[in-house]
Amino acid sequence: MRYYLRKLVGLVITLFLVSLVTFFVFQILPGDPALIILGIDADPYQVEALRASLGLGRPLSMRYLSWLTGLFSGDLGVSIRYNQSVSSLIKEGLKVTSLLALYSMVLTVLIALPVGIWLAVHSRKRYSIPVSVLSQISLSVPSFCMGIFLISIFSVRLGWLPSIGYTPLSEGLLASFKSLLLPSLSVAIGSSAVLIRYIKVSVQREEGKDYVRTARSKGLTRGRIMYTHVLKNSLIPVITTLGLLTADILGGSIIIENIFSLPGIGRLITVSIASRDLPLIQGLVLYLASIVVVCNFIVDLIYSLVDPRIRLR
Amino acid sequence: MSLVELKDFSLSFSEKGRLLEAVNSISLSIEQSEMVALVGESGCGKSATALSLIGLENESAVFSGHVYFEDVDLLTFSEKEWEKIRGNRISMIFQEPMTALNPLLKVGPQIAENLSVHHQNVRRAVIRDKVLEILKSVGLSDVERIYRSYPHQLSGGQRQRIMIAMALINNPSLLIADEPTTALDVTIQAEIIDLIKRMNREKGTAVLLISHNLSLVKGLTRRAYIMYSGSIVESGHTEEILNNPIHPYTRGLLASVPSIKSRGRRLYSIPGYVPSLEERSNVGCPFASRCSIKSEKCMKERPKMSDLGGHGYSCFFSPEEIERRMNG
Repeated sequence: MRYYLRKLVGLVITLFLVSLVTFFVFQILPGDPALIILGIDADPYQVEALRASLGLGRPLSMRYLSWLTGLFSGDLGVSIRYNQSVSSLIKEGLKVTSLLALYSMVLTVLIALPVGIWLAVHSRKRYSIPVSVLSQISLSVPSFCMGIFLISIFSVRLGWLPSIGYTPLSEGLLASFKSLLLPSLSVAIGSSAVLIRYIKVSVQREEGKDYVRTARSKGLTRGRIMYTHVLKNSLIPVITTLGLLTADILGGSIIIENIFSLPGIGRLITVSIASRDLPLIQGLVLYLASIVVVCNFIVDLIYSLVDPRIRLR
Repeated sequence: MSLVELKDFSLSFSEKGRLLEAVNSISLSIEQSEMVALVGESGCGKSATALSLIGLENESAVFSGHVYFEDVDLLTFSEKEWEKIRGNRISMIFQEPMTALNPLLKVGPQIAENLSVHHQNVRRAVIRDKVLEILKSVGLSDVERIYRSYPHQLSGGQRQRIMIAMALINNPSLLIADEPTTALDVTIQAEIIDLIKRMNREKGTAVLLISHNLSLVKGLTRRAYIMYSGSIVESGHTEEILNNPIHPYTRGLLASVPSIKSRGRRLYSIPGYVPSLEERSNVGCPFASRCSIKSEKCMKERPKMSDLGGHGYSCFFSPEEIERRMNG
C-alpha cells in the first residue's frame, strides 16, 4: 500500500513540476509575447489589446497562479489562432490521437511479442538472420519514410486503404479502423523494432537463470517453461520500454498526423507553433507531458502487479 | 541390477572447433536406495556428470559411453523421453535455493506443477492436498501459508526444503543433490542433511550427493567416488576412504580439511591448481602435474583403476609404496 501511496505522491509532484516548466519556458522566451504572436510590424493598439487579454501586465507569479487555477477547472485559456477554448481544441484532437496511439501501441505489441520471443529462441539458427536484419532496418527507417512507403504500396498501388483523412468512430468501426491503420502501422513498425530487441534480450537473459533449470528438471516442455516461467519474468523490463515508447509514439504522431492529414493533437501542435499561438502551445505541451507522466505511473502499477517483490520496497 | 550404471562415460564440449574433455571415461554405479557421494574440487567434472544424469547438460556437450538408468541407456534419450523421466523418476536439487525458484510465482503452484505435469488427470484439489502433505513431510510448519508464499518471503533453509519437496513429490528412484547445503548457514546445513537422510530412509530414494565437502559426505553416504580433473581417482566405502585414503589426491584433500588435531599448524594445501579444460592433457595421470610422488611413467601413461577388496584407486604405485614415498 505504501508503494502505491508513494507513487501517487510522486505523480502529483511531477505533474506540478511539469506545469511549472511548461509555463515558465514560454515566459523566458526573449521579447514581448504579444509582439512574437502578432509580428514586429503589428499595429501598436492591437499589441496593447493582446497584452491586456494575455494578462501580460501582471507579475509572473500571479499569471502562473491564475493559469494553474484555470487548469483545475479545465480552463487552459483561449487559442488566438482558432479563437476557441484550448481545452475544447485538445479534446477534439484527442479523439483522433488517442485512437492512433492506442492502435499503434496494440500493433507494436502484437508484432513485437511473437517476433521477439521467436528471435530469442532461434537466435543461434541461421534462418533467424533475415528476421533480425529486417527488424534492424525497420529500426533505422524514420516513421515518416515508413508512412510514405506504406502509402505508396497500400493506397497507390493496391488501393486497399485511404492515404489521408480520418473517419470518426461514429461513422462505422471498420471504416474508422481502416483510416487509421496505415498511420498506426507506420508508427508501430519502428517502435516494435525497438521492443523486439528488448524482448529478445530479456527472454534470453531469463532463459539462463536457475529457476529455468529447475523448471526443466521437473520435466516441463520448453513451450510450457516459456509460457509459465520465462515470459512473465522477461516482461518486467519490457513494460518499462513500453512506457517509454508511449512518449515516443505521441511525439511521432506529430509527424505522422501531418503526413496522413489527421486532425489530431500532432496537427494542432504544428499549427500552433507555426501561428505562434502561445496559449495553445502551452496547453498542448502540458497535455503531452502529463500523458507521459501518467503512462509511467501506470507502468509502475503494472510492475507491482507482475512482480510481488516490488510492493515491498 | 544397479539403479544407475555409468560405463566409460565421457563428456566433452566442442569449443571453436576443439573438443575439450570435461569427463574422461568414468564408471560409477548407484544401487537402489543407496546414498553415494561424488567428491571433488570445483571444475573436476562432478556437476557436469550430475547434469548429464538428468539430461540438462549444455547442448554443445558431446557424450560417449553409457549411462544406464534401470537398464535403459539415458544417452539415447530424445527430449520427449527426458521430459517423461525428469522430475518423475530422476529429480535434482541445486546449490543455490535463493535463485532456483521462480520469483514471480507462489511456491505451492511451483511444486504442484511438478506433480500435474506427470499426472495429467489428477484433480486440482487432490494435487493441492498432496503438495501440503509433502510440505509437512519435509519439516515445514504452517504449510497453508507457505503454499501461498512467494520465494522472497521465505528463508534459504525453507527454500531448500521446498526444493526437496518439489524433487520428491513424484517419489523418484534417484535424487541428485548438487552441493545442496553449500549456500546455507551451518546450522541449517545439518538440518537439510538430516532431511535428505530421512527422506532416503522413508521413501527409499537413492541419492547421488555432489560435494566438495568431505565431512558432509562422511555422515551421509555409504560409498563415495573421488573425482579429479574429469577422472575418478578413488572409490569405495566412504568410511574406508576417509580412514585409509590411498590416492595421493585423496590424501591431499583430507589433509587440507581443518581438524582439532591440526590445530595451530599451518593447514596443508595441494600445490598447484586444477587445470582448466583447455590445459588438460590426455596423456598421463590427470593428477601428475600436482603429485609429489610422480615418476616418469605417470607423465606418459594413464593409470588404470586397481581394486583392493572393493576399494578402488587409480595409481601406478601400491598403497604401501605411496605411503612410503609420501612420508619419505
